[in-house]
Amino acid sequence: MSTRGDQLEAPSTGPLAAGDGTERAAGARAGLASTVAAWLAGPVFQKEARVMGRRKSTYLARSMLALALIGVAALAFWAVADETAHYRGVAKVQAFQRLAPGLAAAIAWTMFVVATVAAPVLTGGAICDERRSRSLAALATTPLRPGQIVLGKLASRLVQLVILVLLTAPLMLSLRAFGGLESSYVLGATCLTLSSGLLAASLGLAASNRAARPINAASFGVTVMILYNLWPAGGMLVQYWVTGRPPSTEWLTFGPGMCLAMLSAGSMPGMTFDPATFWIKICAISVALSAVVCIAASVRLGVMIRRDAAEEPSLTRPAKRKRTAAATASPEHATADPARADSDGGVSAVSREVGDQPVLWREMRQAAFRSGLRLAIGLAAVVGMMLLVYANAGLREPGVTTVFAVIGAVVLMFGAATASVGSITGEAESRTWQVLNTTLLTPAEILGGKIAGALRRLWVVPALLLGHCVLAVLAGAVSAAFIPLLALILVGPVVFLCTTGVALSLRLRRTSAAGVANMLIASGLWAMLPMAIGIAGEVTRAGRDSFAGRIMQAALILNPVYMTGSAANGLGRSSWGGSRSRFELVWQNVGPETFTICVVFATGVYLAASFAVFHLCLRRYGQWSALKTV
Amino acid sequence: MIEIRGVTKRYGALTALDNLSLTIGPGEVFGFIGPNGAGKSTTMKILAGLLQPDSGTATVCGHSVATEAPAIRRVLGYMPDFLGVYDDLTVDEYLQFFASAFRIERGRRRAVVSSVLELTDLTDKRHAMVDSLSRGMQQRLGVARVLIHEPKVLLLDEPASGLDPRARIELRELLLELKRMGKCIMVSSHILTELAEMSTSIGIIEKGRLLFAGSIADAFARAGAGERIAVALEPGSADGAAAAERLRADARVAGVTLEPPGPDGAPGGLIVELTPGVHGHHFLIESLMAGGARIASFTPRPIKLEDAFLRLTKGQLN
Ligand SMILES: Nc1ncnc2c1ncn2[C@@H]1O[C@H](COP(=O)(O)OP(=O)(O)OP(=O)(O)O)[C@@H](O)[C@H]1O
Ligand SMILES: [Mg+2]
Repeated sequence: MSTRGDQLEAPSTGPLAAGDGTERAAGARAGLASTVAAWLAGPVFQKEARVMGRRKSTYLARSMLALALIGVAALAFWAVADETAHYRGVAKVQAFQRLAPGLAAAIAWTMFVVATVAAPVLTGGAICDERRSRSLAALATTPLRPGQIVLGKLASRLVQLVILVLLTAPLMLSLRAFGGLESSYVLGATCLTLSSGLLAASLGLAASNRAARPINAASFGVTVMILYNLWPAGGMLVQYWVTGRPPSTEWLTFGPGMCLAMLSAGSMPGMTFDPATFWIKICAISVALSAVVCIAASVRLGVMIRRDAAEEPSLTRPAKRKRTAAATASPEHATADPARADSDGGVSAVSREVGDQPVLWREMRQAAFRSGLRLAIGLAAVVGMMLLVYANAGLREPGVTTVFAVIGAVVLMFGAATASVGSITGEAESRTWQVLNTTLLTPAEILGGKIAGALRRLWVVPALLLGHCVLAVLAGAVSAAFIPLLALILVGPVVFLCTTGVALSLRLRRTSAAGVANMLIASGLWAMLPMAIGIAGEVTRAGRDSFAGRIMQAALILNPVYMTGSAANGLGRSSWGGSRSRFELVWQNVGPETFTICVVFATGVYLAASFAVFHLCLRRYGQWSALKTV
Repeated sequence: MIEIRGVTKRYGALTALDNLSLTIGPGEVFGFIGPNGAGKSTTMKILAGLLQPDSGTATVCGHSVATEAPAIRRVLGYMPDFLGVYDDLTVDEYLQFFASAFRIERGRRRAVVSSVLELTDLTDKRHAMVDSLSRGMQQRLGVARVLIHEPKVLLLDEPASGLDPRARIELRELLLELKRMGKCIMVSSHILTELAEMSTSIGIIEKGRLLFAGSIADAFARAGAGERIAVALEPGSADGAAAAERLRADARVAGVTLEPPGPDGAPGGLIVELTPGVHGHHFLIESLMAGGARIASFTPRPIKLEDAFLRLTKGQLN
């Protein structure tokens, strides 16, 4: 309990003093090591670690991920073994050796993505849950400083993240046993993943200060991480436009994702940096940025605690609709003074009429974006980028539509995986769930309303995609058939993910757990599985009639991103030369009829699966919902 | 209207309700009392159909909780102990939301909302955001919400918590009004005196077992709580201890407590507790005066429900 003692010794200037100066002075006195221990592993850390350790979902998520990874590896190995059954000893070993680097890269990428997404999900609720359960005030009256709270919360979640990342270590090591995998690769990939996760976690925590709900903070963190990974590409583009010469590859070392890609690819021609250690720089940058973000978050938390102490805390910070300051600040006074109650009763928001399906009505009213301004800024940025591409590459360029459609599909799937995961856990957290269940609403109405609401909140990306496609069709870049085909490809998976999201939200206690689980479903189905199959196919050069080939085809038909790309290519201008458009489907090109049948088949599979999941929820409704009745 | 037979509910190893049986008739206001963690909320959740009992049956208006949940929801209004509100709605929208959830036609909703707002005195706040209301107002909103579909049976889990004294009195008036309307109401509370004033019968529960159910008078009799009388003696009066001795010998007196003498030399007073069922006071005065005591004041103290409650639950703690 040395940490306790240190805290007591440190001159306490009150919980609200967030001044950097006092913090540093205390640090110097208490000795660096014990201060760090007190800050990282203080009471907040202890409490959070204990709570997380008690949660079943923590272990569920870990084992699901481990199982998924092992499954992918096993599938790849099995496919190789199947294909090389007639090989002799050495050839067989060589086939397995060819598999190792690809599989390792696949695992490293999976972990990189999982860490970047899971970290903000883990930290997104750190402060805002505290505020929602009104325990922030209690925390603020302890001698803990805001910085200590922030670091304690961050450290406890990082432990989870590190465990998650290190889960892959045994798998990587067993791959090394086959040879063909350098330890510098494992080290580099792990460091990149951890430093990215650290930054993502800090961002989620910082956003948690302001966010109304954990999921908002998490999406903020993920969005910033996506930008952080993509900005070198923007830099290269700008350099190219300005100088007219091919941009320097040095840019690539400024994004962790690109860095990981280069690590996976091995040395490239024209590289101006040491291939073994270039990743160290971006790791250092990420860690430094995390420190800055954490300091900002601590300062911000201090301000918030002070403000909450000064006035009546409002449960949710952002005022969506106009309210009088008096009404928000101190409702207590309004009770005591009927005259004032009268006056602010009149100035408040305008009430709207509720529809006949109340759950659906409320879901529909929940904005996809927190404010119109944010939506406008976001839309303007995306539209601006699209216009920039049109101006430079040209709308008629066949690749443009393919790239836009694929990016749109990826973003849409990401949105679908997160859109509905808070729908029921949120009700349970705000204790409205049990009241809702004593009304005449049927489970089907409630769950259906939640799914429909989630679908509606996803309108932005489809709208942008539609806008682009209409322009592309008008410009003659793609056939008009692309629009309905694209809609058909995307609708099944989106409905499926929203349904599984609601199901997980009903089953699991926490929004973050449901979010991670739904992301795992999506990434398992559409990233890990094809990756493993792709690697296996590469290694074995399996034909389409082989067993592995069949699985590969089936998996890719179910992959909306792959199918989107294939459809865009097939219906693009460049393929109009012949009499019929051809669609690429793994090793063969198929005609429009076959391709459409495949798409309809996939949509049918997804809708049937959604229906099955929905049905399961209805059957288990009473049981699962009772778990939320605390 | 409410009938619970042998209901047992377990949370893992903990038995929250242990073979609980209870009957509440129409027009009854049933006060449900018990210490923290006794199982009051659990009972109400089972009646509301939110939890299923592990064994036993419960019916509301003749409908089984286990199999006829939709029918029960139509006649039952449940207000949970912790009121959750949708923070993104106004009071009016919040009530409309539930009016719609109870399938009240669109045309009638406005009138229904107005009437429950009127009843709970929230009309001023009609267009305020729900999360801007104070705790007590949210509590009243919860009551308004419960009334929206005109249920015959009301389950109110600690409706008075968080209310200021005035609001408490208003709530009591409201409940009395609802009682006059012939509703069957089950209220849980820690504030026993208030329950005494509005409930027609009470149930005392501890550790999942019903210790007592019946009228309040019965509760006092069962608890063995008799009337208490505080007697103050004048200066120069005979010793209180001697008087106490005399009284203790009387079968009508259950016990006498001596109060220490005052600082100004005034002799200490006596607190006399009568044997349950004894209501006359005159024999006391006679006995005291016969012993030479000069009575300065003679104050019968009403029996507190708290005392009855404490007595009934005390023996059961181990
Ligand atoms: N979801 C749950 N999981 C485990 N135990 C629970 C759960 N809900 C209640 N309990 C336990 O069941 C017992 C009864 O709880 P209940 O909420 O019914 O008590 P109560 O009489 O309403 O208490 P209070 O006066 O504090 O509201 C308690 O011991 C409680 O700890
Ligand atoms: Mg309770």
